This record gives sequence, structure tokens and C-alpha cells, in this order.
Amino acid sequence: MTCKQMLHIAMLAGAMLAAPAAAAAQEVEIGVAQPNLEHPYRVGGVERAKAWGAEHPDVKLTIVDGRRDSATQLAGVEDLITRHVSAVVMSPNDSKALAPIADAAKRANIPLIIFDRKLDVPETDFAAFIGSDNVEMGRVAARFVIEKIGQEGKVIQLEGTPGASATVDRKQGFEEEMAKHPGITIVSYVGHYRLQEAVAAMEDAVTAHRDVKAVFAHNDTMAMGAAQVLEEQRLDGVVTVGMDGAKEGCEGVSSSRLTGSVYYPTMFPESLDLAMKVLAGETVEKVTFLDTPMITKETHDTYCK
Amino acid sequence: MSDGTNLSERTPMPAKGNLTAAAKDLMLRNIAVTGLLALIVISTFLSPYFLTVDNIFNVLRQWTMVGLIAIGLTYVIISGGIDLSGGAVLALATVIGALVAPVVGSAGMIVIVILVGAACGYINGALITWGKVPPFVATLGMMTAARGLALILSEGRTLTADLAPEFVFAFGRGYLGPIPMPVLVTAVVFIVAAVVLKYTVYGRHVCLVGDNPIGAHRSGIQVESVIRSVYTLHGVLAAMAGLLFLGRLGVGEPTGGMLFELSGIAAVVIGGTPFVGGVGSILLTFVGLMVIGLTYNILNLLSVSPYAQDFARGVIIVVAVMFSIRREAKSRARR
Repeated sequence: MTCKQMLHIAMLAGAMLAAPAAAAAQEVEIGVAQPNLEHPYRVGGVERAKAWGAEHPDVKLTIVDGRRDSATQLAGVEDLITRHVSAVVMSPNDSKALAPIADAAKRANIPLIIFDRKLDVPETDFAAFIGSDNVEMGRVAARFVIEKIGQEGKVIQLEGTPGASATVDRKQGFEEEMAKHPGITIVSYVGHYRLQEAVAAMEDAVTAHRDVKAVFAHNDTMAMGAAQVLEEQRLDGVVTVGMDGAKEGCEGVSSSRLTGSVYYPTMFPESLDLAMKVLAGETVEKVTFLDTPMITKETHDTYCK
Repeated sequence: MSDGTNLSERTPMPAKGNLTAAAKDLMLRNIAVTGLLALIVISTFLSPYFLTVDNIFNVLRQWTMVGLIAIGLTYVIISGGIDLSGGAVLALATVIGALVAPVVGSAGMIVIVILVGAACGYINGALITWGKVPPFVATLGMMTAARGLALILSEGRTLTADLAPEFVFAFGRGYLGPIPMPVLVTAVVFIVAAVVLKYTVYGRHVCLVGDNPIGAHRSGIQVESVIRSVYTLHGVLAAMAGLLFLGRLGVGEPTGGMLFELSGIAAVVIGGTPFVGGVGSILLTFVGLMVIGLTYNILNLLSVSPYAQDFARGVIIVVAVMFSIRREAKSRARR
């Protein structure tokens, strides 16, 4: 065996080792961290993210489930950073508990895009935030109810889980806007964002308030539950407004069981497009708020796909 | 050995001629019933909507699912155990029901769902008897695993179930006269469970196993198979609650039935069944269930702030249990 032959073999071996490494370097990997993968909103987001991934074969999406636990999510995102993914797109389980991740990402030079829920760090510590304003959603719902029932009447509010930021904000926006209309009375019940609890609360609510003119629920599941009770008790003409505008809300509106639903964007594919822009070195808006329009019979086709 | 189900026999009657003491004793011995009556009287004064046929049937229907789980829990707690998996097994049952209904039809779906419940319960019993896992831990594991399985099977979504109208009528939305069908179904189960516990050999065995497992073993009772049977029964009843959920709401919800097991345990304990087992009453579990159900209802009817409601419910449950446990302690001391 000559020296030349040996050199050839060595070069071949080197090329074989180097080839996969080069291919991996070309591929973009985006880590998507959801606080949980069981809530319909999160499930919908992941589905849209996967659809986006199918259209972008050059990008690898890795989805990390926080399992409703801040420590689990923190560990999951830390693993992403250790593996040096190209970018992290995250919705924090808790705005304070996940704050350390911003520093870790910054040191590893990995752009961090926050979506849906805020992270409790200075704006310089992440690449961009994309979200919607739950308080504004509450206002949108209130204005819609006023438009439908006028200046007077009783409105039942079915609240989500007490203390959750969405519940607090949606309630605040709705009640703030309604306070401008002294003829409106709001009675509140808690449905924990779940169907069975909403149905039970609504049964009690309409027993005590048969003169109800509108129902406003903090999500579509509860609004559908309310609609079922109204139907069973033959209370016609009550305006029912839900929130989120995912599959359930869209079906509710198209079947006329819901009068309307305030659309809450899943932030997909917008957050992924944002991540791609950041990776391409483009300047992006630090904070983006997506609109939360009202889905009604008329606007159904625009927002429900 | 006193008659296991009849709690009152544990306290001897006071001396004759002391009427106030007699009345007080009667009230104390039936503290859950007294509490329920007081709650009904007070609520009737507070809200004109409370004591109406529609409202009472609403409340009964709202609590049928927790009621079925509470029946299973009464058996489990009497046998000296505990089961935390009721709500999760319910959720798993609704999800599996929604998935199989279009394939096997509603009748086949009922069979499958009941078998799933029985399997979950049997696994609990097997873990406890063969695996020597403490009931709290075994059923905590089942609670987590069953809910996880429900989430896996449903991919986290709420599944719309394609159900036969007859099923929806019988298990959810139908009425027989003024009585909602789920209430009727649950009432039948309550009566059968009460009769079995009090008047059958099996029911007596369950009490004996809880009261004195070693004694039960020495008198030839298959203690471990009795224990497996009560957990299986609990699983079947939780799955049946899942059928009522499907019938009433028409969907399989992986997050459904959250904390139903705790409401069920509260109902059993307010009904005076002690955690140590040995004695207990299905009828008093029903009374406990109604104490909780009517408390929720009256607070809702009065439109009490939702946050204040949670506080009030917590206080009422603890006070109710405190009274029934004090009564129990007193009767044990006198024995």
C-alpha cells in the first residue's frame, strides 16, 4: 500500500465524517415550547405549526411540552439551548418562573421569540414578542353585546379559572367597557373553561335570572355549554358570545348556536415567520399585537379555515 | 359486632325523661340529615327559585356523575381504602366512548366503556392486593395514568361523539314525566347499592373487611378478592358516570370530571362514613352529596361572587365533616 493510497482513504473517511455535519449546519432547527399540549388552543397552535413545517422542508421543528409545569418547561428549553437550535419560540408557562431562560438563550446567542404570554424580562433580553391583548378582547366582546342588546339588560358572565391571566384580563376588559353603560347588569359565574362546569353554572344562572339578554363566556367551550342550556330551557333570542374562535367557536357560529366569538390568534404561523426573519438578520418589531376581531356569521369565512 | 351500616346504633339512647337531651342526641346522631334540612329551610327563605321542581331536578342531574363515583367511594372507604381515580376514569371513559361509538354503535359502546372502567378498577385492586401498593398511591397513579391515556387518545381535544338518539335520551337529555333520565338511572344505582351493602352477604363482607381484616380472613372471607371487587365496582361506576357525561354533553372531554373524586370523598365523609372504614351508609352518602350540591346551587342562585363561593364551600365542607367526625369519635368512646 502506497502513501498515496493511504491518503486517499484518509480523505474519504474525512469526507464521510464531515458530510453529515455540513448538512446539519445548513438545516435550521426551531424549538417550539408550549406550556402544555392538552389545551385545544395549544393543540391548534401545534397543528398550524406543523402545517407551516410541511411547507418549509428546510426547517426542522422540535416541539417541547411544558406539561403545565414551569420547571419541566424550563428544563425542556434548556435542552434546546444546549443542543444549539437556531431559534426558540416559546410561550412561557409562567412569566416569572421562565425568566432565567432569556439569559441562557442570550449567552448561547440563540434568538428567543416569545408568543402569547409575556416573559418577565427587559425587552433587550429577547428578540421579539408576538401576542394579543386579552383586555382588548374583553372590550371587543362588550361592544358587540351592547350592539346586539342595546343599553339595558342583564348579562351572564361565565368566567374561566379564577386567577389565570386570561381570566383576569378578559373579565377586566369586559367589565371596564360595560361600566360605561349603567343600564347593563353583569352577573358572574365560574365555569373553569370546562363544559360540564359551565353547563351546571348556567343552569343555576338561568334559574335565578330568566330575564337574561346575553351570555358572555371566557372561552367557546363554556359558551357552547351555555347555548345548550338555553336551548334546553327554551330561552330564545339570548345573545351568546364566546372567545378564542378555534374550531369549536367557528362551528358554534356557523351552526348559529353562538352569536359570535372573539378570535384569539394561535400565533402560528406568525411567530415562526417572525423567527425566520430574525434568523435572516432582518429588523423586526420588538412587540407585535395581532388583532382580535369578532367572528360572526358575516366574518366567519375570513377567520375560520 | 354491631350492624355495620346503621351508624346510630353505635350511640346508646340517653336516659328517659330528658327530652331536650333526646332531641339533641337525635340531631347529633343524624348530623348530615339535620344539616341538609337546615340548608333546605334557609335556602328556601333566601331564594324564591330554590324550592322549585325544575331547580331541584337540575341539582340532582348536575350531581349524578359525582353521585355514582361517591357510591363506589362509599364501598371503597368502608373496606378501609381510598380511590382518587374516579374523575380521571370518567374522563377516559368519555374519550373512549366518543372514539368507539361511531364504530360499534351505542350499545357496543356502553359495553366497552364499562369494561374499561372495570379494568381500571381491577388494576387498582390488583396493585393494592398483589402489589402491596398503598391505596392512596396506587389510585393516585391510576388517576394520572388514566387522564394521560385520555389525553393521548383524544390528542388533547374535546371529541364530539356520534351517539344514537336512544342513548342520549336514556343517559342524558330525556325525561320520564318531570324526572330527568340520568337522575332516574342514578337513583336506581343508589337503591341497589344501598340494598346490597346492607342486606347481602357481599355487603356484610365489605364492612367486615374494613372493620377487621384479620378477623375477616380468619372467618374464611377472601379478603383480597373483596378488596379487588370494591375497586372494580368503583371503576365501573366511574365509567357509568362517563356514560352520563357523554349522554348529557355529547362530547368526550379528556379534562372532564376534574376533582370529581374529591367532591365524592367529601360527600361520603359528610355522610358520616369514617376514613378508617368498617361502617358507612349509601343513603347518608346521598345526603352528603346533596349538602354539597345544594350549597353550590344556593350560592349560584344568590349570585354570590364566584370567589367568595369557593371560600364558603370550603368552610361548609370542613364544618360538616368536623361535626360528623366528632359524633363518630363520641360514639366510639362510648362503645
